[in-house]
Amino acid sequence: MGHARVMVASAGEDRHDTGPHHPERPERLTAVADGIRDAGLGDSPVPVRQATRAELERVHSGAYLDALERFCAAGGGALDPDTVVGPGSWDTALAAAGAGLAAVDVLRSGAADAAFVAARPPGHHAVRTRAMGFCLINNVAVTAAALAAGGERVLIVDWDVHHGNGTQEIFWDDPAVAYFSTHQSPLYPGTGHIGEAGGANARGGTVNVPLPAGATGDAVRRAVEELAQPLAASFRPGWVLVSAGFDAHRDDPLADLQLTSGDYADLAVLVAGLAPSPGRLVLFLEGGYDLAALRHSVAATLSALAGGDVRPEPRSSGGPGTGVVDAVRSARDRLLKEAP
Amino acid sequence: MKKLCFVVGLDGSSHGEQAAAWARAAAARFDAEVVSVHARGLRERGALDLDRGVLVEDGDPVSVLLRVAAARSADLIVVGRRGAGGDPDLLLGSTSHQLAERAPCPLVIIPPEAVTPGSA
Repeated sequence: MGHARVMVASAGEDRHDTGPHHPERPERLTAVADGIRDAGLGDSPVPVRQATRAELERVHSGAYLDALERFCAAGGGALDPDTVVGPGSWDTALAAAGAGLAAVDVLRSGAADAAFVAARPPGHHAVRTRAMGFCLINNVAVTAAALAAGGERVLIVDWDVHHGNGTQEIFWDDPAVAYFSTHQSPLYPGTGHIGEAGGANARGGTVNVPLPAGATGDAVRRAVEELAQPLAASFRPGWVLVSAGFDAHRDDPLADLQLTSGDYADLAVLVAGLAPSPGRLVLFLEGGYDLAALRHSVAATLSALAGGDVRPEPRSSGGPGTGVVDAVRSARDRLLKEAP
Repeated sequence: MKKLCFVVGLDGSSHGEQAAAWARAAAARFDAEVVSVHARGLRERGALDLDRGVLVEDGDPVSVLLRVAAARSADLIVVGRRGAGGDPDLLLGSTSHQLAERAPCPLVIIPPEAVTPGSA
């Protein structure tokens, strides 16, 4: 999509304080902002707004939302060994969830061809009734559910190095939302096996590609070309949403895949091609904990979407994992043959 | 007859150790098998400093204990309690509270001041 207009949506003031020495920290958004500038994108004209209670309740239980709001208001603390909140986390999480919705409004107005949600906390581990893995509200799910409520079909592509267990769970049995994930396995959160393919009403609507440690960009590119493209061709999404974590980068401290910023440029172009037309693509920041790798990867991704050539590192190849792509394809062929 | 299976959650804290001690003592009385589980979090990398025989599973403590309990057809889950007590504003961060709502089998919650059975 050469020369596409790419917009950036933010959550406004970041008041999500995870305390000292936490990898999911406010400085990540500074690195992301640097990457956005490196890509040559200007300031964001997307208005900041919070997700409403009704929009949140499409994917989270009311009891969980109440408890989370109270927990933050009481001063916060640890929700699990990884997930820490402070008094400002609730408002920031609502704005992070709202940023995707605001991005959709801007795209629908025709003012842009793609949008990037540069907000934290991330979302894809958050399940219906629980926070986990640095995630409070499942941002990509809130936007997908809003689109689905309006009659749209939505494909979520999750290239974060961790499996998006929350997103998978929320749409497990939903025929209007398909979920495709590449991730390192074994790794947190321990889900995302090949056999996890969707519920009875959505068999084959979930596709998991669990890659071994050391996998390089060629494996992820092949996964998108040979698995996500056929999925999109049969599912025919009206929108493509991306859980864009950048922690599969080789310098990331929390995982062991070997991607480079150049790989993200390739992936961005491939995934943009899954959308039915311009203006139907939203990327959501998820993980990415090495600040330089995050900056370079965001720059490469957004530049590639906009038709630019910012590519701080060349693409990578030669690692293990391409056999997994074949194994997923075989499992999928069997599943589709069995389907009524 | 299959041996009873007690799944105990270790979190590296004294509460987890206390739960494990209680589970071992109770298991001796019932001739039960004890499966000690550590949930490896998002931030834990490389080799973990754990006793041999501890099962390591990736995920958050609630998901991991539910997953292992289901896989092993556990008869009991045993966890320690950190001390948030009954403050309703803080229950969201309580593993034992969330397990109480979702566990597929009986759940034993060991309070910080508990006494190991048989030791008193």
